Parts: sequence; structure tokens; C-alpha cells
Amino acid sequence: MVDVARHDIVIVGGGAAGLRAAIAVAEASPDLSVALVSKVYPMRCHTVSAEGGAAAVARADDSFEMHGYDTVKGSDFLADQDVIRYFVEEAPAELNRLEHWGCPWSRNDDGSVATRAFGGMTTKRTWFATDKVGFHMLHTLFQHSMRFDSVVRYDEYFATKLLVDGGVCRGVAALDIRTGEVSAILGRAVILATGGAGRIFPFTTNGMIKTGDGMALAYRAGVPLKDMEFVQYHPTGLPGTGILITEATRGEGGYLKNSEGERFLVERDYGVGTKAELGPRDMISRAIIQEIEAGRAFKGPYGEYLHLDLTHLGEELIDKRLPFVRELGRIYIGVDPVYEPIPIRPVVHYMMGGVDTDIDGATTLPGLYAAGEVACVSLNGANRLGSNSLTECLVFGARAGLVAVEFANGSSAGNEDALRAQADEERAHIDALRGRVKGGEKISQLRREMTSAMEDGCGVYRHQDTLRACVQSLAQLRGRVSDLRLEDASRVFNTELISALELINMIDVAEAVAISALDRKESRGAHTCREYTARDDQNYLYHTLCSFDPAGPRLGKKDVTLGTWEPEERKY
Amino acid sequence: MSDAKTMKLVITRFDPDVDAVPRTQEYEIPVQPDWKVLDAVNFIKDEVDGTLSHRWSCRMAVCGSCGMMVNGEPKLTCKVALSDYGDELLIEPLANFPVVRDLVVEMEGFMDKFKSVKPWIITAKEMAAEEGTNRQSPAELEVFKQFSMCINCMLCYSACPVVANEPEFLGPAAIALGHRYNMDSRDEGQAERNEIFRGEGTVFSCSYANECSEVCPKNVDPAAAVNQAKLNAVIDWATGLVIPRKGP
Amino acid sequence: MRLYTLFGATGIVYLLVGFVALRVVWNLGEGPEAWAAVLEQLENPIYIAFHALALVSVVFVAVRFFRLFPKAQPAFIGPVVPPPRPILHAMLYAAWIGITVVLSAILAGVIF
Repeated sequence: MVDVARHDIVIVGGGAAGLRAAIAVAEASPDLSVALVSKVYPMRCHTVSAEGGAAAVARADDSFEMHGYDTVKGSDFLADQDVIRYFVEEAPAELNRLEHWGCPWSRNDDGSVATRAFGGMTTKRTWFATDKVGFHMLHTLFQHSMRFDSVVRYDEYFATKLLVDGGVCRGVAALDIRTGEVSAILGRAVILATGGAGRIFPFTTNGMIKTGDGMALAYRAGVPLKDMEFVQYHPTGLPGTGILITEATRGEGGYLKNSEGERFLVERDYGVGTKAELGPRDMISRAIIQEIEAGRAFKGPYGEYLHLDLTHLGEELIDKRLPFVRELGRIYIGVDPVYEPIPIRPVVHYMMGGVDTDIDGATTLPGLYAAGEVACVSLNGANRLGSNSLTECLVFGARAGLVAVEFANGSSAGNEDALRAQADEERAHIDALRGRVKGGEKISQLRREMTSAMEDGCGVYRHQDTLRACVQSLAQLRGRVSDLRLEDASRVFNTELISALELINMIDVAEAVAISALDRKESRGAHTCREYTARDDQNYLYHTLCSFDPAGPRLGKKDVTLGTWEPEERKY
Repeated sequence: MSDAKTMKLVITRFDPDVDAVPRTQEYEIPVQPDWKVLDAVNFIKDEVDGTLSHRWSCRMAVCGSCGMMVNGEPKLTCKVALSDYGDELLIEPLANFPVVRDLVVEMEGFMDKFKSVKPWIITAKEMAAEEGTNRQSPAELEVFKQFSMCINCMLCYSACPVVANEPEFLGPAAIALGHRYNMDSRDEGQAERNEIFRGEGTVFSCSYANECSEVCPKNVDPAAAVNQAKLNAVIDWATGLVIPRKGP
Repeated sequence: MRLYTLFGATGIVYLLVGFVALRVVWNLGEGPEAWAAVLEQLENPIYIAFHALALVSVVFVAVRFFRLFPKAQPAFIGPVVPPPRPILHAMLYAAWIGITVVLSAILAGVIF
């Protein structure tokens, strides 16, 4: 029988959203015990890689209305407007809190927090700590969380199943990576904060750990995934590795240039108007692809690329505001941006979609909450604006934490025997997978096939026929993944077993992305169809829901909350 | 890229379920000219030997997961180029840590040290979120900024001769972290942390070998932090003799 | 060999320098002939090489100290703000050169 650990709130994921939720619970109810379950130590979580900044109204020339409008327009009017309103109003307080907790925000000469320009934002409202904002926010949150004794960390525990009793989520089964033992970590509410799933694509800014685990957990427990077709391509990733070069490079005045040395966003009409390089990410990524298709790109060993030119900014500004970009350029592509333009191409960066939640982060499964990239609270709609996601982790991490406390206070602990039995079952399942030498499929091979299917089908531009082929490949991969071959039978730190479990999660998530994309026959935000080039509010102004079914994913719809801003043509 | 050559990697293997002591295993693999050391280890894991265990994630030198000994030196493997080395490479788990498995080391001791320096802002009165932010001048930020850049990769513990001899030594990263908060204009916890720093096995165990700063992949300069902390701890103690402290 | 091991190893050189100094002083007390004999011995190439090594050791330790000392200064020591590191560096080297010049002058009999 598996061991059972009892807590009040179980949080899965140790990045910004998970830590913020844990702190919210610890502050609100110090007597509640919080389990923070994370497959990596919190400071390794992918929040660490975010570079450019976090948005919140800070200046006198800014307003909630403006931040809200920018966000809803950026979302191509698919975001829920009540969510946006709550978000923009809470954002400043959340970033203030981070400041009080020690985040080393960059400063103006008068000692106030400095802000920078960002894509799709009408004024400077992106708070930053040079160009390592995610790193500083994550470390600040993690270090601050250590002062609360009620937060019990389960570092390097991989959650593999939600435990549900009486229709209420009451914990997770988690694999202790170090010992190979499965245990039941129980609580009266569970918050998912496991981040996105960029690794379902071959070329992504995301770290290896971003495998959509929380999405898959919720999905298999019957919670729909929402708006999964909307996958954000960041315009500027390094060819080959996909390492992110922050949008702050353009916020600080960098140019995008084609092989003719032309600032194509200025010289040609890509719909970004005077915003030029500070247009929203979906539009700029499309512009880059069109430049490549028009033959105005450079050819390199990792495909065609364009230039991000910072040479006119000068060494002093780059060292002061973009030191990490300089370091990344030098180490990972051998280019010093002070003297040479950086080769870049669009790269998968962020999932607008995720576990369907309401404004509280509550899912359709009572007791289960989600926040951060894993969730789709519908702040980002069809396209997220840069620097909204770090703030989203804080605002909705905190809210999910507080709402979970309320739920937990009114909820019982559930039937421990029934929950333990489910974890026992999960243990048997994992034991059968570990060292499964009789299998015929290689993990790396299936992973390659999955990512290549996703790249072909769910790229910046999507075709109906390649999308259909992608859906078929994924359905086939879903079958093949049950016959994985695993060589490592050891129970101790078996990373092959983790890779297998991650691959199974990724294939589920990838299938939801592809099927949702095939169903949306319009172009909106990051979802651009070659065959259906216009936005179609008449037929498609709704959220796509994708639900798990052993026979294959089922699709549904959910209304978009309007009310403040009327959908209009998205022109900058 | 096609101009592949082959390289021999000699990697430490250890599975506590099977091995009494660590052993080494050789892998002959094709490598690309632009690979980092981590890419080679990942290639082995994916294509050659699924039983090899190591930690990695961000592959952009910021998550701090992939520290290993490369030819006897602690390195962040996603940051060092394979081409910096010859045809053969020795890869071992980080020195001065217990080994869990293969290239994976035990981090719990480090995490305890990390927490023991109270790495959070300590103030007598906490500001409400609605009150806005503290004022902190760029100069005040500069004072601690460098010490806030630590990614907790633990290379400094592998390089430190004091850690090698006294594993319980608080160590470079943890002291740098405590010092980072001590130097933050928003913090009022200096007295508490200096008390910790005057304890056994902390700042005064440091012999200022400076190895931590030599190997630090993020130019944090932990040796500077540790030795600044020494002076501060002494001054704090001396002032305490003259001006008695308030409160408990 | 790592730098800090080398640094520690210079201690052996200083120990030997101490023995030589003791021997020289001892001979001085033994009278003019003993003094002349020890002076002659010191001209032996082995002694000269040893003293050259001692000089290198001292310079190594000094340079290492000059490199490490400035960064060990906190941004403020109580109310005192130490000078910026480059200036601290320059001050250390200036003091070193100054003291060397004065001592050389004394030894050469130019002053005192």
C-alpha cells in the first residue's frame, strides 16, 4: 500500500503561479497545511527563463482601461472581459508585493520602479529587473515562501494522477523521483500550476520540463481543455536551440530586418501600423514567415532566419538593460549584439489555452483549481501580450489560492481508503511501465514523430490538410505510446520513466491542440488558417472546449464574456 | 549540420540498487560542432543509453540544473562548448555532494543551508500592497544586485576547498544569498543574519581561496560576498558591544 | 595545481627564509670571520636562486592579496563608503611601490 500524506491544500507546480498560490494560502490561513509538489526544485521551474518583464499600470499616463483594451485587442477579442478587468486592477498590487518581498526591480533615478515598452502595449507599463525578470521573480517568490512553515515542499515529486472521491478532487498520486515510490498526497483542494506544454513542438523557447503535465492530469480526469488551438509563436528565438531573445530588445528600440537590410514592419504593411517592432507577437511572427516565404531571409544550417538588430542601441544600454541577451547571443549563437545583428526566427513560446477555469481558477471538477500557463482563465484569448503572463501567474495564483482555502474550509477530507486505493492502482501502473523491456517503441523516436507532426500541422500558418494529417498522426501515436520500451529498471532517480510519463502527457495535450485547431475554421490571433483568412465573429466567437474520451477527444463550446469592449477589427 | 565527428565520453555511473561503488562507462558518439556538453549527454540519454540519469531543463544557463564535473572542473554543462575539449571527455557528478544516481547529486543539504540564512526581506512593519513600492535608488540596487544573480547551480560548493574538508560549512551560495539581503536597502534583518554569520561553520570558516568566484557561471562573485559578510559581522558585533541592542 | 594550493605552498618558502635569516643573525654574533663566511655562502647560486624564488613568492602573495582585498570591502562599512575598487587597487599598488622604494633607499644607504 502506498504512503499517505495529509495536507489541506495540495499545489502541483513550483513556479510563479504555484509559489504565489502557496504564499496566498499561508498568509490567509497559517493553520492550513500546504503541500507544494513539484517535479523539479522550485528555482528550476520554467518561470526562471522569462526575460522581458511583467505588466501592470504604474505611470500617470496609463490607466486600467488602457491596459484592458490593449489586452482584449491583443487577444483578438477572445479573452473574457471580466477576467481582464480583474486582472488589470489587481496587477499593480501584485507587483508591489513582489517589490516588498525583495524583487530587484530596475529603478528610475528617483528610486521608483522603472517600466519599459512592450509589444501591443500603448505605454510603458512593463516592470523589469534587467532582462531576467522571470528569474528574479521566481527566486523572490521561492525565497519568500521559505519563511512559511506551513508550506511543505515535495521537491522532485512527479504528480501522475488526480485523486477524486465523491466527485471532488482531493489530492494527487505522486512519484518520488528519488526513491521511485508512489504516494498519495491528499488535501481538501488541489491547485494545478504546472505551466505549459511547449515541448510538444520541436522548436520552442520552453525548457525540457514544459511537458503539459497538469493539462494532461486535468484532461484525463474529465476537465476540458480550453482554447488549445492558440499557440503563441514568439517572433525572436535563436535558430537551432530556440532560446528566447526577449521582446524587451524591441521594447528598448531594436529593429527587425530582412536580408535586404529593410525594416519590413515599417516598410511593408503587416497590419502593425506605427507600432512597427512593438506590434503583437502573432502579427510579427506572421510577418517574419511572409518575409521568409518572399525570399527575403538569410539561409542557415537551421533553416531560414531574419535579423534582430540592436547595434544602434550602444553597449552601455545593452549592458544596463539587456545583459542576458548579450550573454545568450555570445554563448549560444556566437554573436555579440553590440556589434552584430542577432539571427532569429519565430519559435513556439506559450500556450494561450489550458485547463478550463472560471475567473476564480475553479475548474469543472469541484476542488480542482488551476493558475498560470496550465490554466485558461481566458485572459489571453487568441494571443497573449508579452509581459502579461508573469503578472497573470501572480494575480490568478493568489486568487486560486484564496478560493481554494474557502473551498477547503467547507469541504471534508474524503474517503481516505478510496483515495489510497486509486494511488495503489497508479503505483501498479507505474511499476508496470518502469523497465518495460518488452515494449517496441522508443521514447525519443515517438517524441520526434509527435513534435514533427505538430510542427507540420500547427505552425504559424495552418492548412486544413496538414492539420488533418497531424490529427491522424497523433491518434496513431496515442496508440503506439502504450507499447513503450524502457530499459531502466532502477527505482532510484529513473529519468527514463519520467520521460515516458511526460511523453504520454504530451501526446494527449498535442492531440487536444491539433483537434481544436482543425475545428476552428477562421483566423484569429495566433490561429491562422491559409484557407480561412478572416476572423469570423458570426460563427467562431466562442472558446473551444476539448474533453477527454477514450475513443478520441470530444469538442464543445463556451461563451466568451464580453460587455466592456465591443469586438472590432484588429488593426494597429 | 553535417560535419560530424565522434567523441568519447567517459561518464560516472552509479545506481545504489546495483552498484556498491561508482563505476565509469564509455560512450563513443557522433557530435556536432555547435553542441554544448549537455547536448552530448542528452544524445546519449535519448539515443544510446536510456538508463543514464542526469538533471537538466532550461538549456540557457539560468535554471541551474545541469552542473557536472567536466574533466575535473565544475561546469554548467549547457554553457560550455564541447569544442573547448579534445576527443575525450570525463563527466562526473558535482564534487563535494553525495551522489543519488549517476550524475544526480543530493541537494537537500544545500537547501537546508540556503534556508538557514533567512533569505527573505525582514522588516519591522510590512507595507500594504496598496501603499505602492519602496524607493530604492539605482545605486542602492547596485550594492546587492550582483549577489542576487545566483542561480543555485552549486558549482561553487564543488570548487570550495573548505566545503571539501567540512561538508557542514554554510558555503558560498548560501552566504552570498544572506549577504544579498543584508545589503538590500529594504531589509532590516542584518542583526539576525549577522548573528547567524558569527556562528560555527559560517563566514569565518572561509579561507578566501576564491575558487567559488572562479567557477561561478553567472559572475556572482560569492567570494566577495562571503568576505564582505565577515567584515560586516565583525562590525556588527563591535557596535553591539558599544550600543546594546534593543528588544529580545 | 590550484592557485590556493600554490598560495599555501609559499608558506614553506617563508619557513626556509626564516631559517636563513636566523643563521645570518647567529653568524653576526659569532664575530667578523663567521659573518664574512656567511656572506660568501650567500653568493652561492643555490642561495641566489632560493632568494629569487622567495621574491617571486612574496610578489605572488602580494598581487593575490591586492586582487582579493578590494572586493572584500562591503559597499559601506558603517557610515564609511570605501573608495571604488579601481581606486583601491591603485592605492594598494602605490603604497607597495612607495614602501619598496623607501626600504631600498634605506638598504642602499641613501637615507638614514
